[in-house]
Amino acid sequence: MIAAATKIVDLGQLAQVVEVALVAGIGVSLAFSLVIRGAVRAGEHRRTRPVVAGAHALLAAAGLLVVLAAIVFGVSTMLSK
Amino acid sequence: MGSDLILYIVVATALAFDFTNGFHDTANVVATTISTRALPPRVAVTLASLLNFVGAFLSLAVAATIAKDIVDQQLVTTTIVFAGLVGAIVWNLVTWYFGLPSSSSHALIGGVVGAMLVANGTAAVHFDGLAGKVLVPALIAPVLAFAVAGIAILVCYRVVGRLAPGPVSRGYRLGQVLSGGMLALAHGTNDAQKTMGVITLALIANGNLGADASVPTWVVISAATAIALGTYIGGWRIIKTMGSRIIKMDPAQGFAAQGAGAATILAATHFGYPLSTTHVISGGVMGAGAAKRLSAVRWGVAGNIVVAWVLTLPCAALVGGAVYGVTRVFGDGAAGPVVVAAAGLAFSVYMFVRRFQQGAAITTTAAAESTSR
Repeated sequence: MIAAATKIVDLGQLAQVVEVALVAGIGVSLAFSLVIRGAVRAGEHRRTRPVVAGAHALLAAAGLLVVLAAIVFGVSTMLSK
Repeated sequence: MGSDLILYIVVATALAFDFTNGFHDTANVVATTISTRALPPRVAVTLASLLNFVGAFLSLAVAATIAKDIVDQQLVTTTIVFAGLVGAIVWNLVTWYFGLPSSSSHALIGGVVGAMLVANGTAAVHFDGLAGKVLVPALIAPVLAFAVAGIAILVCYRVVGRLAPGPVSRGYRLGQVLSGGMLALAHGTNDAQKTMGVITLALIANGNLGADASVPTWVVISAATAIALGTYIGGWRIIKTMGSRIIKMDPAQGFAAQGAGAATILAATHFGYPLSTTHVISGGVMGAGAAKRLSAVRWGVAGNIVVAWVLTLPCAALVGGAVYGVTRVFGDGAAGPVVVAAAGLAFSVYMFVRRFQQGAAITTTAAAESTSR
């Protein structure tokens, strides 16, 4: 039965779709949540603990970079087809 | 070369289908953005419309699948394509009438397969292509989006859980502009191509293109324009169902649902699977709701949606087959498509008038809700 299914469905390709969707969907959500967390915490500590605020701002910037990279990667993947 | 008049009718019908596709699927793209107030309704719809237009130019993998992998190209006639399109439009209008977010893609594929079965029997349909490229992905895609959105929202809550809710909501609303934009782009890449595939199929059947020809530029531009116009005019009934009747969402849930939807559609489009954006985003919305609290999802509404999904392929196939049969009664010429197109237009007008007489309040209610919250 598995052999018959493999004939009809490209299981390798489907597995790649699942893998890419999981990594991209969850990864971008995590990165964007870190952007929010970093930005909010940086704002809270801006006056009292500037070093901690700077570290959070860095975290937010890194998260934003990941989100933007994911968007660029998504669009360029489409363009390459 | 076959009848050019039939070809013109087919192209016009295909673009009409593309318009209803955009009209019907606007909700998939913008409902969560509107319901969480990330963007005002008109701005969200305009943005989605523009990105749908752009997205239609990005990839042609799905168009190739529709044109080559589902039915035997050698046996396709313009009348079969026409009957399939009418089957898809009728099913789209019926589900729009009842406010159900069913799949335009599956309606189109079902319509073409039904007409092909009546015209040429089972040998003319590539059942392995249908199963491998349509049915199996149709089963996997909503479950995948459900899982991705479910895990994503748990991750979001874990990361921002102890922060003040005000800035967090504002942050995720901003994120929804990005994730909604990606979703609109993904929708354009996936859905406009179905129409491109069908028009290409008709051009090949009519002898205007060779069997291995690529999609002509005018087909890409006209399909992109039709879906963008349909998206702009919008399906407010379905926006209501998607945006608030399945679950009431917070901005983080909206972001997770849209992000999961965009990731799943873009990944599938890359490999040429003509995925239903409706199935994907509905799965994402349910996943984002269920992960927070199972009872948050209105499972009755979700059940109706699933029933519409299951019925889409066979019902559109039935209508497509019946339309082909009726068209053939008038012989080989253009008379059949002309009569059916006129009847279809009358049916469409009847559905629109009847719906707006009965249900115009839904648009008002949606607008009222979005401003009152």
